[in-house]
Amino acid sequence: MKQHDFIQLRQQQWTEFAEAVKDPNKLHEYDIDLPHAFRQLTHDLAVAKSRLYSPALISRLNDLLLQGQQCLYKPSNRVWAPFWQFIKYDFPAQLLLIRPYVIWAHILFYGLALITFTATMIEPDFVRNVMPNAQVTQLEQMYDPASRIDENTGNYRNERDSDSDFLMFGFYIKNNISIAFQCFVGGFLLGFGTLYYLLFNAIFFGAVSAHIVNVGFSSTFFSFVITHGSFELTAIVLSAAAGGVIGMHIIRPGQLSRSAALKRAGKITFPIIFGAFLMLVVAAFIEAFWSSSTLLPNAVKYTVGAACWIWVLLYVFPRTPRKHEKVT
Amino acid sequence: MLKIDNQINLETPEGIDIQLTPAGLGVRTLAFVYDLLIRIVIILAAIIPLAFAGNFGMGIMLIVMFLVEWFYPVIFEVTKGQTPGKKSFGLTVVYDNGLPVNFAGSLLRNLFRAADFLPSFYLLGGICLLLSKRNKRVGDYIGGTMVIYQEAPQRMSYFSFEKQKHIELTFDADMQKSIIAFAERSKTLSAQRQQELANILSPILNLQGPDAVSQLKSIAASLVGKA
Repeated sequence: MKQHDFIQLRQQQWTEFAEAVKDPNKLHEYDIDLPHAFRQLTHDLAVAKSRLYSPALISRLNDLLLQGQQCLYKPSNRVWAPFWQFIKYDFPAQLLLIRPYVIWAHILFYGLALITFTATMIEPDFVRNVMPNAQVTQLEQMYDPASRIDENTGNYRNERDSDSDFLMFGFYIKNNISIAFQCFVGGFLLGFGTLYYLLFNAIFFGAVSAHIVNVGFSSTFFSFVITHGSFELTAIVLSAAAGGVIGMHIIRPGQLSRSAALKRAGKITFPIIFGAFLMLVVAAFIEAFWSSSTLLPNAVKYTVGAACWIWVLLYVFPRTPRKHEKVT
Repeated sequence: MLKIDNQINLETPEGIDIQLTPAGLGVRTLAFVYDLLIRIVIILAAIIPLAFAGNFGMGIMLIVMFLVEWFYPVIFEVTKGQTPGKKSFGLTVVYDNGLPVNFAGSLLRNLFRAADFLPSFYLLGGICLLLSKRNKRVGDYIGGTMVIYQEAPQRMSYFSFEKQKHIELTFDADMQKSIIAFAERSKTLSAQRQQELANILSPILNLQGPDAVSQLKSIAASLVGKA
């Protein structure tokens, strides 16, 4: 059969197919058996290729097939149901998968924070190695209980206006996410970047909290950080764990090629990063609207904060399935 | 066989190869700049009214900037398969298997812009893209995605021809294909270029210029079975 006759014979079906696959969302409006039509089209392309029909024809069939394939095998694009599924199952499952990294990231972060905390308690000037004097003074002012008393009237100041709460919300999100992200992306420098950012933040955190205790503002400080800290610090530690996974896959790809290992690491760490991102949004929300409130008594803040910590830790360290439950 | 284009073949479960053309550094940079301009416009449009809203406005502002910075490409890629910049240059984002990208892939490839950007001005991403067979930057490797040309649906070209006297010639398969391709593309070529191409065959056609062109078209027509 010559090309011209072939086109004459099949043209009608191609046009119908092209019409139907133009918009994947309107596919149901057409009366077409898509899988069948698609297979027919692949057959046409094979025929056209083997009979050396013209490039224009082949490329038209090629385009039709590409559109058809995108229609037929389109990945699902729902948002909310997968979202819930993610929080309830996928994220904890993935955390379980990289548990050694999660544990190590926790040990490194809190271990070093504890060491610098102790060091600063013993030697208060240590904090000046971590940050410049001006920043130390600013920090002291921030948590000085006296700063909450108005100089003129001697009364407690009113709460921060809610509009500046919003400002802080935006600020916290941007700031925390960039820290978490640095921890993660550092994984690409063979994991050294991750280690650097994680340890740097640990030192900073340890030194700052010890310094606040040294100058005697501990009640304003800890009541402020305890609640959102559960989400924020854990999210940062988890990003670092994900960075560690990336770094380790580059250093030791096992039986995979490095690029395949990197791809697999991406698959493993994506849920972690997305989960950490959600936790940071929650943390920023708490930080801006709850932690900063001066109306709540500290006892309430400590109770809620402790509850948050317990919940977050239970969530991040889910129970390991017993042997017989394991799905292979 | 040495290839003169960078098309890749993608085998579908039906056992057929589909051809895709990954987009290179130049056109992707142009698309990026286009998107960058749109993003700047969005941010400016947000700044102006929010500047009057005090601290509340500043907070919203920061959130808007954050969303535009990280989610502008994601939203467009998930809903339309391409950002406006990519659309204007006929590009689209797909998974390695040619399927449209969804939320996970798009988020991953766009979050990794931060890695591609290192040390500055997308140097790492650019180098990675140039070294890669499928023009992938780091984010594309992680997300398992690539950026391809989305070709405008091609019209099968019907070329006009005038019947010439039959010449007894035998062509091998490749040559037949080239002649048909020549006739089908002739609409997009200037008359001079058509003659130039047709003149290549003048030793066997014994014709020159316009005569060779119409003779070739006539041969093509008989090859595809029109005449």
